[in-house]
Amino acid sequence: MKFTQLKMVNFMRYKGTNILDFSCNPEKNVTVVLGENTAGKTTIAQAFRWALYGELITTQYNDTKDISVLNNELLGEMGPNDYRDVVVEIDMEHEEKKYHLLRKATFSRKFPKYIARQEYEKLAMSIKEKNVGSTTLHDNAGDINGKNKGIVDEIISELLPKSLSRYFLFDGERWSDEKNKKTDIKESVYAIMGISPIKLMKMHLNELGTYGRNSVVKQLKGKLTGSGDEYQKINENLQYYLSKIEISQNKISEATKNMDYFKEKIDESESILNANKTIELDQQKVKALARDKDNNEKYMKSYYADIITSFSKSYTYFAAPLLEEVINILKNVDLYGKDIPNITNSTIDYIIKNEQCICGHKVVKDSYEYQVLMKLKQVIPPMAIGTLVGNYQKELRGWYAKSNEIFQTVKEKANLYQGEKFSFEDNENEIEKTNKRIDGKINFQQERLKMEANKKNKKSEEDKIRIETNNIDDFKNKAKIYEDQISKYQDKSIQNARIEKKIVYAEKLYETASKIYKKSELNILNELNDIIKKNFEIMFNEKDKYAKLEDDYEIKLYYNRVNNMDGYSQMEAYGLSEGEKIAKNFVFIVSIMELANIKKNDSECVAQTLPLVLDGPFSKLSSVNIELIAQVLPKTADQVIIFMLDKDWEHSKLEKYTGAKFAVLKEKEQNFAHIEKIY
Amino acid sequence: MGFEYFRKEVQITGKHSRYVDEMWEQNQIQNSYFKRLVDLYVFAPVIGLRTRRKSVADNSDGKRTVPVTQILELEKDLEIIMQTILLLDDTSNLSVDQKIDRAFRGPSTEAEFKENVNLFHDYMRGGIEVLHDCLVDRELTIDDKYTDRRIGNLVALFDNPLV
Repeated sequence: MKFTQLKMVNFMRYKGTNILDFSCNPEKNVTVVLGENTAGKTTIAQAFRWALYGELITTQYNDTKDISVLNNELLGEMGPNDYRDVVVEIDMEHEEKKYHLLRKATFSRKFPKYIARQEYEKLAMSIKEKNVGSTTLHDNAGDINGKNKGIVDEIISELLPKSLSRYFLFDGERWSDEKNKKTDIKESVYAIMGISPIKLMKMHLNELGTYGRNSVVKQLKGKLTGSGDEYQKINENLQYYLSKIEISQNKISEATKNMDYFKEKIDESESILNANKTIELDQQKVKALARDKDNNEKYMKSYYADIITSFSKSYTYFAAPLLEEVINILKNVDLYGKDIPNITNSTIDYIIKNEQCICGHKVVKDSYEYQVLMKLKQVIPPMAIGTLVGNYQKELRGWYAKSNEIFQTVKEKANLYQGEKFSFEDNENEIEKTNKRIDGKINFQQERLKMEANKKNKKSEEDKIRIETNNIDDFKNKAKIYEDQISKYQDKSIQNARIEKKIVYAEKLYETASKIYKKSELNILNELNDIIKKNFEIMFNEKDKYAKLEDDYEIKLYYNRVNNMDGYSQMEAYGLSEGEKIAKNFVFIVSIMELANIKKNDSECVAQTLPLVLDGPFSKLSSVNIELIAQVLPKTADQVIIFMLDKDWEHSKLEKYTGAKFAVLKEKEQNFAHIEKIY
Repeated sequence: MGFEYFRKEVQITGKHSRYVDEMWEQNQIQNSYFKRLVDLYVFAPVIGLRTRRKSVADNSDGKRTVPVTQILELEKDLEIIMQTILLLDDTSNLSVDQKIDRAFRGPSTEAEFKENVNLFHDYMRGGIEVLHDCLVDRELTIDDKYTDRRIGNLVALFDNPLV
């Protein structure tokens, strides 16, 4: 099976038509696509996945709603009621047949919301017989009568089953993906190695259905006839237990479904509650922060009041510098010369009252002397002016003295206020941030009750499963007894003899198939392990560790023993680096491919050989490892299609195996990429 | 008979009363720069004198009354400020002796009394304008250490060499 061409029209990053012709030359079976990071290499892997399975790898996107298979620029250009198509076509060759696959999605912006969205999807395939030249067309939607619906999906799942896609289509995160179920891995490995048909055969012969009742052997046994009361009785009993087994089986499958359902619901509740644990904590935090904030505010108010109280008295501070001016103005004035020494208002009052001056002159009312004295009285203070000025200056000096203290108080309180303000703002920001996290609408208690109820429900389903499993064992034992007994009472007719013969034949066949299957299972594990060990050494030049596939198909890394005296039989390597995880998986994939190639001509199994499509496998590996791995690839798979960074290309030394080379180009000012053929 | 200053309530009118409202709210210290109206009344003339800014009364709408009880509480300090104004004011072309007489002997006539009171109030109104500029209108600058505008402006006032 080989890919011959991929054609993308307006697919994701690729605007317009871009074509990749893959190399099918057995000597140069590598096709390489080079490009810088984010240029659009992964998009090509996406095109494969979308065309084959109608899905995209979404893990690298934060929001799957953001992804559109239609080129974003075209999406943006679309006007109301416009239509745009996105198409991916894949050409493949397999066993003398040419397959042409087409998947097309039509987008439109329609009334009334005018949101661009996918309206139709078409999936079609044409198959051309190389020799005959006739072409058959298939439409996944079925024919006019609605027949053959899903036919293209069926063909694809025969050619390139989705379950195997992880072994040929490596897009992105698969390299270190640990989510794959082990049973899935085992099944897909069996499918690749071609032992699945034997398993099916084995099932068909003796295991299909409840207690194998739909299998060939059991069906044949059912056709054996018998007679007589005893036969009837035994047969009735047998049928009774067989039906009991079936009933129990149905109960189990029903209970399992319910159990899964309840488990899902419990998980949902748990994830809500776990998220809410932080919400509860957050709510407590907000309360504490709010208290702190209130306190900050109280302190701020108190400091502010202190500041204002001090500031209100600080006119003395602002008046203090005036003292200098006052001193300047008064320093050259003889204040005491302005006064008549020791003469005050009361002195003059005394003279007027006695109507005689201290010099002996008469002072008669309204006389000249009287008027001089009265005028004098107006300018003579009750106190000496020198004293008054002295008092004034003293007061002003007092203001000056304490002015600095006021300023210090205001500044100190202002600093305290600022500190509180910062805390206040910090608390406020933290509250806002935390509040954003909180979704106050969720009712925790109700959710918890719901979860508890579901836990009870799940437990009761588990109990049912346990009881029915025990029942089945019991019923099987009883059925076996009757099965053994019944043969004695069967008719000795020719017809029964014929059936008996068939039964023996089927049972022998079953035995052989089981043997082959068992042997294959064991062989595959052993052979795979040998190849894995070898490849790990070659590809990673690793001496300290070795890789081993466990019975459950989990690949693990172990430390090599330092010497034989070492007491540890097997010491697993934990905490693998990203590079080691990739290495581990790489070795696994390559080894599977290699074994499948070996098994291709196996007489008992029909192994499949698949092309390998690899996206950016080397980005986390050293240049030495890149070369080691790259050199193995062309020998492992029939066809290798690989997307890589320019810088890894030289290290890979793949040139001599490369039959086709492309580059993904993206102009800086452009939002879309295009592919250019180099050779 | 003697004339005594600061024995009556005082009215601040017009734009000055509006400025006052932006710096003081009764019983709302958190919304005020001054605890009481009288604190602003005693503060403003000092600032007016320091900046030598006088302003005549504006008789447009608005009136704030400084109660006499509050004035009497600060009478002594107000007297000192009055004396300082009478001593340092240069607008009347008086000699130093005349200024000293004016400041310390007290007014001998009604006219002289009123003139001195008006001078005090001119400086008081001038001071209100300066305070309004410095406390209310001023924007914080990068040099201010405080992020609260009121606090920043208060502290900046202390550091202002012009005041």
